[in-house]
Amino acid sequence: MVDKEAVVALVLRAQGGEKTAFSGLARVFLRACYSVALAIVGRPADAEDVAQDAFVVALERIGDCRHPERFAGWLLQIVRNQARNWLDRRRLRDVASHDKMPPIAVEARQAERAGLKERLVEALSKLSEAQREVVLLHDLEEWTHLEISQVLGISEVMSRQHLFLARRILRGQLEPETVAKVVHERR
Amino acid sequence: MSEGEKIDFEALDPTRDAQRWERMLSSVTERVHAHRRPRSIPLQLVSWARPTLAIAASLALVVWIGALLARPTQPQPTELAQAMSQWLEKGDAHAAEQLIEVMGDTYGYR
Repeated sequence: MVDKEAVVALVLRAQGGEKTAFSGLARVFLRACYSVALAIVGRPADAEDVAQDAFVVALERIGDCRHPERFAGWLLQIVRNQARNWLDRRRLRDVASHDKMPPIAVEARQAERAGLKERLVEALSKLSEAQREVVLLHDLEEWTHLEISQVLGISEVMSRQHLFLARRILRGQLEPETVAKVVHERR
Repeated sequence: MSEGEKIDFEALDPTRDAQRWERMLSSVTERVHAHRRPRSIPLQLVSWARPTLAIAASLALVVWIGALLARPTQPQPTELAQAMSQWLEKGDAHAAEQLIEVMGDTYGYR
């Protein structure tokens, strides 16, 4: 994550209606929004949509962000709410066609015959939501445990535990054979 | 993969396709700008129509209730009895028909 002072400055400028500040914030935080959305909705394409929608909502309400230094936590809470709403709507849609199977499990099933992206999605589906959030923010977004603990409202120790368990489960899912296959697919 | 090694999520990274990611970023900022752009006068009028109607309805209700409460109070039956007894004391009694007519008028029956 970029340093807090830069983020605060961007938030204040965005609150003042400065257009370049919006794109600045999007550059810094949109992928983190995607990571959190992916941890909840489980499908990369859906996560992209949720991240974008949530970001637009957040920037429309940026005046409500009273503590610019806590912008990341405020933003990711909006992402979580949007993602859960999305999941509820998707569950309603999927009930008829998938016989009440949780969407992430459906995704995992489809992944059986798919490539790396889908294998990762399948492996992620074996984790808890908190584990997914931590491992994606840490390993994809490269946030520190301190940053993760601040935005997710958990302790640093808990963040480390989630990461440790998440990695262990993921390694178990992504066997060397699978990884080799994936490397081959990439070529 | 060793115990402490990070997981490679590159396949799930939306920034991997730089052009697509840039399009996504500009789409987000465009949408925010579009929402913040001042709307045309007809659109503003339409958006104000519902709250204006609600306020007008509330005002009408307040005025109607006020009018109901401000209606002149009817004389109490004891006042009528007193008036009649006074007429009788003075020997000024009216015919029954006239009394009924007066009472009826007082209670708004006519």
